[in-house]
Amino acid sequence: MNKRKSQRRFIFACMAPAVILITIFMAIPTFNVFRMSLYKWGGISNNKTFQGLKNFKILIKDQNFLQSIQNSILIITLVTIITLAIAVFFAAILTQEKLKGQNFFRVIFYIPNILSIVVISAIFGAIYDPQSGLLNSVLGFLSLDNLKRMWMGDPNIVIYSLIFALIWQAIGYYMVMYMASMASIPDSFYEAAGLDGAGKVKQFFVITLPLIWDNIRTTLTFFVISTINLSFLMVQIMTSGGPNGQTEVFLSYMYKQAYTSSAYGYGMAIGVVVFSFSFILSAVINKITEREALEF
Amino acid sequence: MKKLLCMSLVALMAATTLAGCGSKKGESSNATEGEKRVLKVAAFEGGNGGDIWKNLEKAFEEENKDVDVQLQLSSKLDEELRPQMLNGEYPDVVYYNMGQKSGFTETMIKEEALLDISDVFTGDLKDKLAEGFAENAITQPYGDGKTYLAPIFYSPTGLWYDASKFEDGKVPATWDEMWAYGDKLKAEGKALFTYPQSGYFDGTLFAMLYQAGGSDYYKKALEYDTNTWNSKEGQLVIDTVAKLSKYTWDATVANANSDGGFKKNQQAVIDGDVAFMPNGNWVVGEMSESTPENFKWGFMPLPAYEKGGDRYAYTFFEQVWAPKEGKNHDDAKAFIKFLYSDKAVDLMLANKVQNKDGQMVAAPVVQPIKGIVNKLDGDMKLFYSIYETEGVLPALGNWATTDTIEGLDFKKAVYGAIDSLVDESMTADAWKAQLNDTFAKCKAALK
Repeated sequence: MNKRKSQRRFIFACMAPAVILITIFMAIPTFNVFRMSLYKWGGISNNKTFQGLKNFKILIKDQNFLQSIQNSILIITLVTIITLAIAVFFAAILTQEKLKGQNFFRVIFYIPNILSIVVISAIFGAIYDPQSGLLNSVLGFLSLDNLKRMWMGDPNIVIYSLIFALIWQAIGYYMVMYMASMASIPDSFYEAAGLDGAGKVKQFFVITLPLIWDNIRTTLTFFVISTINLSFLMVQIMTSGGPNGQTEVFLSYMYKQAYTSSAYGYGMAIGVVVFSFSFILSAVINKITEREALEF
Repeated sequence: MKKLLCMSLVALMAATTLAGCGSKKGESSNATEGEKRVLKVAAFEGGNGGDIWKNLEKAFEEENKDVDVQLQLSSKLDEELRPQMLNGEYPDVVYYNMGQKSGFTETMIKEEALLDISDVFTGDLKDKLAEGFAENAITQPYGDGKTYLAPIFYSPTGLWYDASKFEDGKVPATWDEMWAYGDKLKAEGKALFTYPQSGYFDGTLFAMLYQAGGSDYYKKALEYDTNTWNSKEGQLVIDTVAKLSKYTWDATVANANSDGGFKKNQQAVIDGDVAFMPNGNWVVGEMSESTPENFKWGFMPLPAYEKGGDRYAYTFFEQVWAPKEGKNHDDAKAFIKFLYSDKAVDLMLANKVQNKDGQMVAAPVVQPIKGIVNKLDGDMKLFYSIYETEGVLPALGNWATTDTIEGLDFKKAVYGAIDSLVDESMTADAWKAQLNDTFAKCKAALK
């Protein structure tokens, strides 16, 4: 009995640092965000007026906010689907084919992920430059002048320019993760399948994909969270919300309301919505993709 | 024994998580340190550099031997001041402009957290200041005749161009002449107009409103009068901007929105791709690194609506203010008054900043006092003499202060829409509707 008790105390003491950190730096600030969203506040001095749910009522009717929701959902959806497909595909090729220089490719693909998002925004800013950018210059060189566009100016395509930059940045990270889980699949499966007459593509869909499914499920949550964060950073640097709100995302709108418009309480209300949205989205994605775990 | 050691190590580890949680409660914020009174000055380090504030600090301390000025210089001043203020530590004097992304000064105004400095601008100083600077919607944000912000470093804004393109001095003086010139440029594959960012349209829009309807109409417009855009004057302004957007360089919007991309739009004027852009005289120093030696800037107010009509140039100025919660009100007011003394004015005119090669180049800043033009020379004299030209008048002022309006992004609704006019994703009528809607919201929230 004594041993169990002291064991318990020991476990408790070990967990204490982590629990304290999480409480102070995550739980309390989140609670504060929820609390501050109920006030009308400028953000600096101490004059707060309690408003109840007024901020949320205004939020529902706010056209700018709805536009930012649309943009954010578009970005999350496209970035997730395209990056997932490309990353899994490349991971499969690099693990299966036993190409020479496999490690070299791993490094090359991973580099964009190490770069700070500020650097990436600067790189793409230079590529998309309408006068001297790489993209328009190459198109001109190949005599494809009619494909030249204002990549960051045209309101219809500016968001896709951003999405491309986000995909470019994310592929390496997820590819490396998938490669790691694919590497643990025994070769004997592929050999047996090959003997049964299954082609490479069939093997991929029947063997590889189901066996790394759990890994994919975890990364889907990462996709949602990191896209929300990175899209904010990229928008701040590259477009500031873009031509008339075409690239406004959740967090950049929240920044503008909280700081530039001095509506701090309102900004916090947006924060509450973003928090709930990402929570619910991750929960829904997790539930939908649930499958029986395959053991091998 | 082992277990005891284990437990104590774990306890130590748990304690270290709290190491970073200390707060600066130990500081006794007395306004005196030893014998001298302390004056805390927080200044934004921007295009004008930080040396000017160090020089002013020294000069003020020389004249006031019983004051110790503690200078806080930062290019991210708002980020430093916010947590300080939340902790109860307020500086006595702050140099930070309105119109920044962080909205710091606007928030202070909305929260009524500024000190009333009306008594600084009485007597001698009142006569010394150039007309209009002491009483306008920026320095008196609550419209009650009390001054809360001090105007410093003024700069006329207008249209900037390459002077060598107009050797004969025949710059377009009316909008009709502008359109004709614009057509001529289109044929040559160049553009008439560009703007660094849509936010730079504020000066232009103010000047256009003033020009269209005169001083009464302008003052009402600043207070979001419902008739502003429905009247024929308002329609004239909307139509002019809409037409101007058709003559705007097509790469403008793409450059305007990216961080630092506004310089590309400014560079286009230097390179000869575009004729005109709205700006203030800071652009000369800002673009000095990429301007060829023999380039000559030209500067003019907005073209008149008809021949012989009035032409306006909006005057932009920066602001200094004192937080109410600062400890040293008297010395704060004395310091602000000092900024207009002859000594301070001369220091500001002699200001230098370091360029990227490490050399010090002249970057004079000008105080809005009468007769200051006589102290300037060369290009600066040319730019600041704009009001001495026939028929050119100054426009001052800003949109009236309102309570916080959740969900409204004023700059985007009023100026950002111009981006959409340029890339044709919005019509002039839609912009007018948006302006009316924005004005209605602001009028309802007027302080």
